[in-house]
Amino acid sequence: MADKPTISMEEFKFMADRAGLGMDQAELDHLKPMYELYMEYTALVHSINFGPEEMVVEFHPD
Amino acid sequence: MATTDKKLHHLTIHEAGQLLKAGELSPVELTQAFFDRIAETDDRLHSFITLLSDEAMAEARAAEAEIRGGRYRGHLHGIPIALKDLYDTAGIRTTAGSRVDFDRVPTEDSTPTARLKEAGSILLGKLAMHEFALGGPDWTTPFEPACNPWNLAHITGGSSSGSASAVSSGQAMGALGSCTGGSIRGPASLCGIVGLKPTYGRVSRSGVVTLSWSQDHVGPMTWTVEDSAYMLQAIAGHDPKDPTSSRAPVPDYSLSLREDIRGKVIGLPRHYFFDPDPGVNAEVVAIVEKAVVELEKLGAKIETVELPSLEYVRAANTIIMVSEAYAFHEPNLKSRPQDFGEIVRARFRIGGLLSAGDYLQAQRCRQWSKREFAEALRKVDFFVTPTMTQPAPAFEGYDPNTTLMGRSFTAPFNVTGLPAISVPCGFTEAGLPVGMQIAGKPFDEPGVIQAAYTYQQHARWYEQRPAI
Repeated sequence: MADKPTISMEEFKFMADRAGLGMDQAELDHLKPMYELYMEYTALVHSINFGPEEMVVEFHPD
Repeated sequence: MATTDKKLHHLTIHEAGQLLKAGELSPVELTQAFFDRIAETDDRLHSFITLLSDEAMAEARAAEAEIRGGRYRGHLHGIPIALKDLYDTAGIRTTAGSRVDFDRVPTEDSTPTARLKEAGSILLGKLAMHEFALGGPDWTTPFEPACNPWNLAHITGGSSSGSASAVSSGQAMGALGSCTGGSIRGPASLCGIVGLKPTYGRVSRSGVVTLSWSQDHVGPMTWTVEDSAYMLQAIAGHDPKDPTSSRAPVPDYSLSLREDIRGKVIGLPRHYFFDPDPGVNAEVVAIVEKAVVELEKLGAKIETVELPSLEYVRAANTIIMVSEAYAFHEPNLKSRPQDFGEIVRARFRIGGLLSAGDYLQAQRCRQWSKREFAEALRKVDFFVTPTMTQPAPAFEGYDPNTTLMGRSFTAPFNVTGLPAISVPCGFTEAGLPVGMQIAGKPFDEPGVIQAAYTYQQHARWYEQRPAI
């Protein structure tokens, strides 16, 4: 993976408030580093160019 | 009295079933032996959340009467088993390992619960688990984490932690786990038992507490491959209560209990599972490499396969998992967040912070992976890999967040829905078990079972039991 993605506390708080998670500052401080780990995963899946590939609505393995 | 030299709690389901059927062992005697074993060990193992002594002994007496009356139902009749505490049990508390569901008493059995009852099994109790099937040992939940019977200072892995410790220590002959990213095969591998994750849709999820609708699987955890086959037989099959339940016919899995892997082609995705990586224990890989050589000696052909999507599958599994978990748990997460343990509360909240675009891109990644695996499975019969990247870590210094990143050897088969089994294949120098994973084509549980059975009968690791 490239540089580890980060997010500002201001932006992170905005997202948490928008999601209605109702977290105080201590909880935001605790969660932000973990969210940044997940950002590595989201960056990874967004790095793939799937072109017109569709998403199947219901998953079946067969 | 039973006519066996073995301790009753060390019998396999297969062995006990033969004695029960022949009237040489009483279900009452067998069930009592397991409660004695639990009383002897559970203060150290913490496998059980709820014990059902009175109910189980009543079920055992009923089974005894039926068998004596010539109404033997099959391999599970009179067999003491236990359930991860996320399988709904009518009238019996089902906590999912959380304070959120601490007092929840379902009114109906889950479909797997009901099917195990129909097969005549005896339910000993409900088992410890990582809260809502995610995270790791968490002392901020109301329940003690289960300990590894091979070394009590080490974790069992999870999330089916109590299922693994109970079966490994001889507290139950079999258990159900559930698996969204590896929660059946992982703890099975770390505790030296067999764990079978069937194809997605093979076993109903109805009445099983949800983590991730599209990735949750139900499956058995047992001491041997044949015992997993018997348990799968009891729970497999279409269920109209589960919209993703498959209508594919259920074969007779006992027909797969044959020692023959000659001519089968095993694909090794070396670049992801075997090549050196800072997050992968070299001793574990070396042990599995030896097992692969044994499979080759038994007549299998070994081929290296390339699956480029593997580098993305863990990310897809994680994003889909926490997004779907958030959707399921959102009301409680917002109204009573304090009732969640610290680990799960944080991860579920992250699910609420991911975007629809993230989720959809992860699903498209999943489609790619599914297609790529299917293409490879036209050329090989199975994939064989280590089940886990590491042997069981010690509790001391263990941080579940360190496992958030890096490789997962089990998640690819949750994302693709393919059947996969973990079978013991050796021990580390420190005496901790190592498992080998065998994954196959959709609904080829028979092939996966036969390959694992062939190896098991040749290697005979099941003859070693933890000294607890």
